Amino acid sequence: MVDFVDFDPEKHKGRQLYELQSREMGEIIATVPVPVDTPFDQAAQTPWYYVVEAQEGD
Amino acid sequence: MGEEKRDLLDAYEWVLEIDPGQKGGPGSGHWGHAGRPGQVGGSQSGRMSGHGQVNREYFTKGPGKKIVASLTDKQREAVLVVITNMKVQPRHLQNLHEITTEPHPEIGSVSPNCVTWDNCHQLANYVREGFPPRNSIHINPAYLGSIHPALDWVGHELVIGRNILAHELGHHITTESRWALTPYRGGTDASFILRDAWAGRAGYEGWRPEYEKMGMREYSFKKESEFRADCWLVYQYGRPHQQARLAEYLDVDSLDELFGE
Repeated sequence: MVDFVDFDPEKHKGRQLYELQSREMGEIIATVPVPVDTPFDQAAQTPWYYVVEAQEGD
Repeated sequence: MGEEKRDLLDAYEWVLEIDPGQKGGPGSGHWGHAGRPGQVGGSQSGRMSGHGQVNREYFTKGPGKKIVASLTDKQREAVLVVITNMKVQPRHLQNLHEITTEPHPEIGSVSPNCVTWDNCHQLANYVREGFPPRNSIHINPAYLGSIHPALDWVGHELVIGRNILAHELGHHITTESRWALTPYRGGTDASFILRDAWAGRAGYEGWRPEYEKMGMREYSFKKESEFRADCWLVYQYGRPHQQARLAEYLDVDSLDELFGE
């Protein structure tokens, strides 16, 4: 399983961003990290919505 | 507190009857009741209106014990670290049956990156009548295992487990919790404020890039449930100026007033 860490605008510039998004299956909601193309500067405004795959040093 | 308001709280909010053998203790005393800043005293003896922030005792000795009962000590610690560092009140958690690492029974298993939330929309009408709802959050144990026990909210040592818990709690809180079903300012359900904002504006107006200024994202405007869950996220993690803008969008004085008072 891939580990994720919170997106840090200062440390993670240029990394693939993931967003938590829901997928509904009937009455069930499953939330998964989905890779997104959100511009870095835009994501930096709301960093709590984003995560990145953990790498050494994170 | 006036009789009328007390009656309202008794009718709609969670009230804890203190075990006579457990009264007293360090701090503000009552289980799960961290007190309210700037106020002396606390809830009435033996009762709790649910407006204090939940603390550790809420989960170790109080009614929150069942919510985390199935978790290991380490997993429970991870959940406690996250939730007790958010502005979560007992009324936000009421109707939440459990947070568990067990797979959801209707899905059969939890895929590696999957967390599920049992959506009990269909039970909403029964909550008022005392029908026991079964909202539950099923979280992959790897996420809980990755939450650092010495949580540092300033540094960025938090991992996705925190975000997932906050997001899923946002769904629960803004839909089925006692908060959501409590009259707001003596009017309709508190959650109606969010539903109204969606129906009256967000739903048809859709996403606009300037809404980043109120802490939201494009996905927040995908559907009403995500909009409501993300309002909770902004309340927890948004910057003050973003929270103020979102409050303005929702037509409330502040997010604290909406979610916290």
